[in-house]
Amino acid sequence: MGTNSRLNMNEPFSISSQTFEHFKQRMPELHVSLAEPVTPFFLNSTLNFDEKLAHIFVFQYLLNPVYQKYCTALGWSADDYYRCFDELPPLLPVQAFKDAAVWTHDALVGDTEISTYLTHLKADAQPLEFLSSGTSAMQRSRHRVLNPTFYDASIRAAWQARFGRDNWIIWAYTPGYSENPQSSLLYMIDRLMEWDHTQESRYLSLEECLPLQQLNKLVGDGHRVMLFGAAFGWLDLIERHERENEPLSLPREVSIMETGGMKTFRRAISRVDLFERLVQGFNCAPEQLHTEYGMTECLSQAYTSKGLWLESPDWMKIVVVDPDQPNKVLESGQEGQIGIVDLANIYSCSFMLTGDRGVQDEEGRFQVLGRWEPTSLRGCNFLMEQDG
Amino acid sequence: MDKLARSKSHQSSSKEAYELGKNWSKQAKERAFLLQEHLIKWFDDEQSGMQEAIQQSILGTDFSSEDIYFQLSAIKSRLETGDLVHWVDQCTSDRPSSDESRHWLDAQSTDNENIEAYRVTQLRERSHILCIHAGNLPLVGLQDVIAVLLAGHCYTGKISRKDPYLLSSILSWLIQFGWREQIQHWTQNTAEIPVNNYDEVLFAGSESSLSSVRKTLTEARTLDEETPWLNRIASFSIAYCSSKEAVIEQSTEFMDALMRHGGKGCRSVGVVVSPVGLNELRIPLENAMKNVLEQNGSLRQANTLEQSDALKQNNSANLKMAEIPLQGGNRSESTRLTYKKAYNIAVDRVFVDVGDWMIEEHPIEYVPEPSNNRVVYWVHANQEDLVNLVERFGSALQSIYYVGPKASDVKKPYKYSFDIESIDSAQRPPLYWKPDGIDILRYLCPFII
Repeated sequence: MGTNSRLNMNEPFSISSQTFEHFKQRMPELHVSLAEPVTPFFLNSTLNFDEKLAHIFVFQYLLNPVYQKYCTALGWSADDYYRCFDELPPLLPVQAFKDAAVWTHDALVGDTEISTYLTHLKADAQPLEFLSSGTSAMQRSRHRVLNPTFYDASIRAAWQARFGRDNWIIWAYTPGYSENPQSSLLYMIDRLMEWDHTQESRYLSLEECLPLQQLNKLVGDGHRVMLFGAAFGWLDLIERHERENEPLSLPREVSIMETGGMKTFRRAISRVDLFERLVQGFNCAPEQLHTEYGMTECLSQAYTSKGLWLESPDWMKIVVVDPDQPNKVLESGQEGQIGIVDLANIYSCSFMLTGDRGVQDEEGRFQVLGRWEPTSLRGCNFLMEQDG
Repeated sequence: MDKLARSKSHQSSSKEAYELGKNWSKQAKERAFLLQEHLIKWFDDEQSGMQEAIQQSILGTDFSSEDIYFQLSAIKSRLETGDLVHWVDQCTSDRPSSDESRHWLDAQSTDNENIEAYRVTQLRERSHILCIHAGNLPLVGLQDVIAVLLAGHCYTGKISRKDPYLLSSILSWLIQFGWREQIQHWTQNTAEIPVNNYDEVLFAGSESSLSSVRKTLTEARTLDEETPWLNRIASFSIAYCSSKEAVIEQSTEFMDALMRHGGKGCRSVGVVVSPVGLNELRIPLENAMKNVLEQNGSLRQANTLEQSDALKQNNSANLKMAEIPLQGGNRSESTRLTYKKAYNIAVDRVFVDVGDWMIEEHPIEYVPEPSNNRVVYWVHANQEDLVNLVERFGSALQSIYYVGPKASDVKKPYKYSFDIESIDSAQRPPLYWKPDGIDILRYLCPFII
């Protein structure tokens, strides 16, 4: 595991002892989960999703100053526990992870650090800080994870919910996590590798063909293998195999996980085209292809369950909202901006408005259709767009 | 052909081109005088159809009556100042910039001999220009029509369905004054654009609409795939404010540059760069914005009346002033701004908001391209940073304005063809202003060397 940068704690802000007592009494399950780390709160089975959502709303309203200011400006308060059952709390644009420090603050309760009461908020382990991809000149999202326990639990539970409890060998056609400790995706892959009891999981060389012999041997020994990689990485690999005249034919026990990256500064491809090319290139069945949807700002992942539709785990809710009125959830089938409620995001903010364009079906599954590009209302084009 | 014969032929072409060029300049100037006269008549003559076009535009477009009157007044005053003649003079006396004047020549020929021959051909023949107009009030469309006519070319136009009245009225009027030979056709429907051997397409619109319009026209064989297009896609302008005092002193012009036409025109300011932080100017800016909005009815009307005096003097029909609607956004726009405001509060971003207008401060490194017409970005930076921003925004940027005592004090971004304009010209540009930095008359007349 790579070394992650230590955090500079922000200036603390305080809540009153009375407010904290109120929180303890009102939300004992969340309090216990954070005070005596046993089961992560988002996996708590005694409360339903909406109840957990309302708990976390109040908790983050109290302890996340950025979210608190956002909600207050939109007319929400810490007293809006029951309101959460009727409407979705405000979704904070993920841009906030670039513009500010979005995390449940290391607050003071009176004069005492809150982590004295909620030990889970104590940064005794090495806190993590993930950055979105980009160059140093670009503004990048920063997601601070005070304690990796919830993140690890979310990775494992989401994986098991989708791929079962059987052992998977992970081969990653990606850069290694040790060289990129700021990548949340590579952190996730690293954990999945760590949990493989065969210890056959590894990072593959980006400059070589797939070691087919070794892959076939693992399959012959009864193992299942998941190959992780970005969209264009897979296409480059297929081309490499074609160039080197090493035909690919993926055994059924091997699956491919596409982790995004459909658009680079030089190339762009639609998901449908990508899947067609992967099925052809790897000479495999469509069922062997999977997609993971995750982001630096979010501790949980959604996986494709059928074709191109993504399904989120039980503690993560996806909504598609009107970009002009983010409080308005759209009907299934309508395109809009993807909003996420990720209850595993306990340290930062669970209510997020992404920059992605998407659509949902009636079963709550969703597809990501690309980035949400705001229509420019400036310039000569502002009336031309819909003109015949 | 031997060397001597070639040299003689070249000399002969050059001489012919020179004579034709001289003649063209003379004719262009005559056209400018005539066109100026006919356009002014359109404003002044009760029977011109202008009144009807204005009323139709008030009722049938998204533009407010106040903006329509303002724009027409500005155009008329520029016509009366002699902008068209000046434009031709400027074109025939200035040396062309490489972008504007040599594109055809370069495409056709690489040696002098052929260039001269090509000039001769071009000077003798009329080109056919297809203009695809976006609906907009700064009337880039009118400028395109004027340029085509001054150049002596033939005009065919696709007029925006969303804003068809004013331009159609002007075209109909001009036809009555002998411009029929040049104004060949105009329509609101893409499908009705006649198939012609167009030499050039002038397009005003977004990059996204460009490809679909182009595809439609080439698929319908209205156009050849090889026909050159000039695309005007700039969407906003930058203002550089030198000091707090300058902003206060020129607050009326500054607000006009920001808020006129609901901030939508490409000449409207979307980004302000200033060595003064937004916080320092919070109160004067709030007051200036409030003034514009609160007095929208009375103040704006006063402005318009003042501007319209020129129109009224010789116009017995007078311009009947309709009630001036406040340029309020719709409900979703207002909700969006509420969320934006909440976001700015959440991330401790300095901002000023009045009504549904917002100015927000961004760090120079990350200031995005402005897209919302009612949100202006303020960058606390100096002139050196202005150059970097110009480079970053590229083709989306229309103009750079200066708020301060002397525009010449601003260091010109030398790599780019931007002139630094005074802030008061933002919404009252001369008729020869350069959309996307291109002098359209010069562009259409590459043979003027």
